[in-house]
Amino acid sequence: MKVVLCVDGSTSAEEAFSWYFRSFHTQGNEVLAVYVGNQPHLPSFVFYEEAVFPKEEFQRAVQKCKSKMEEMKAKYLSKAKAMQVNCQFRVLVGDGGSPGETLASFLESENADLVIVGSRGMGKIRRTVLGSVSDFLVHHAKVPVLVFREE
Amino acid sequence: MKVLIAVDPSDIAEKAFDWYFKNIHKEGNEVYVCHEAEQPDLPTVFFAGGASFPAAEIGRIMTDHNKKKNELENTYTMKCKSYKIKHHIDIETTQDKPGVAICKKAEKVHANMIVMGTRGMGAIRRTVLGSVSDYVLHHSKVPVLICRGQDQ
Repeated sequence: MKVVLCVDGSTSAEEAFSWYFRSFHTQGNEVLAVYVGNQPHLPSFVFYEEAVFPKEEFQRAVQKCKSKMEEMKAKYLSKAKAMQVNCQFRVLVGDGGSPGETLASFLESENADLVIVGSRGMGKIRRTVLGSVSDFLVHHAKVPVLVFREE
Repeated sequence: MKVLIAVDPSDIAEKAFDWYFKNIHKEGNEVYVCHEAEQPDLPTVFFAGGASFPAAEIGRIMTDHNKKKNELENTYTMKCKSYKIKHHIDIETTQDKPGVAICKKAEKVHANMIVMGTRGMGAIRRTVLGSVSDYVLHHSKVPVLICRGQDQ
């Protein structure tokens, strides 16, 4: 069975990852830990008379996103190694859609059999019970969805 | 791991159960199959000139209700036995709304996970997620697996 585990920078995602391998994983499952990278916040600029293309700022913004992706990849691959399990790490770049949408189309293109997502991630609104990504996937994914909750 | 599988008489529930067993179940998992049937609507009685207590009708409704419960219990008992799963079957009638009852049940049996289908017997088939699944998803204290069939 092909399992997609959605991760972000939150501890909820880390717990879901550990829980999956501890209690849920079956030998033979192919596991893909998937991170939807943030689009870099590129500075906007206006062409006034002496405008200069903010090349350095752009580079900095892109670099920041890249570092974040590398950080996530290293974190999850080392977790997998520590738990002695096999897991691939993929970074998805959204094409303008929301993370939920990006994940939903990834699930289809990969023919995933199951998607695991935390109940909430990095979102600022902590009062909501179900974050936007998990909510989207529950309603739109074409495969079974496991919404993980820290016990 | 203790898994609570919430079912009803629908196909979707059966498919969810089969999918769980085929893809997720592990040797040693203890499965609690539960159905929280809502108290059936009994006819109200008006004591106005000559009304008699509709005993026969009430009897019919309750017999029907119990019959459905027994059928469900048999279906799932047989399934669990044929799959050789360590199981408990709890088909009960509850005063609570099904979603509430399922969450309470999960706490009572210390379930580590709840498994359920997307929709059940509800009349509104346009919704992606039925009211019970929706409730449990938002209120459960443990992970919830929403099983969606390929054809949905």
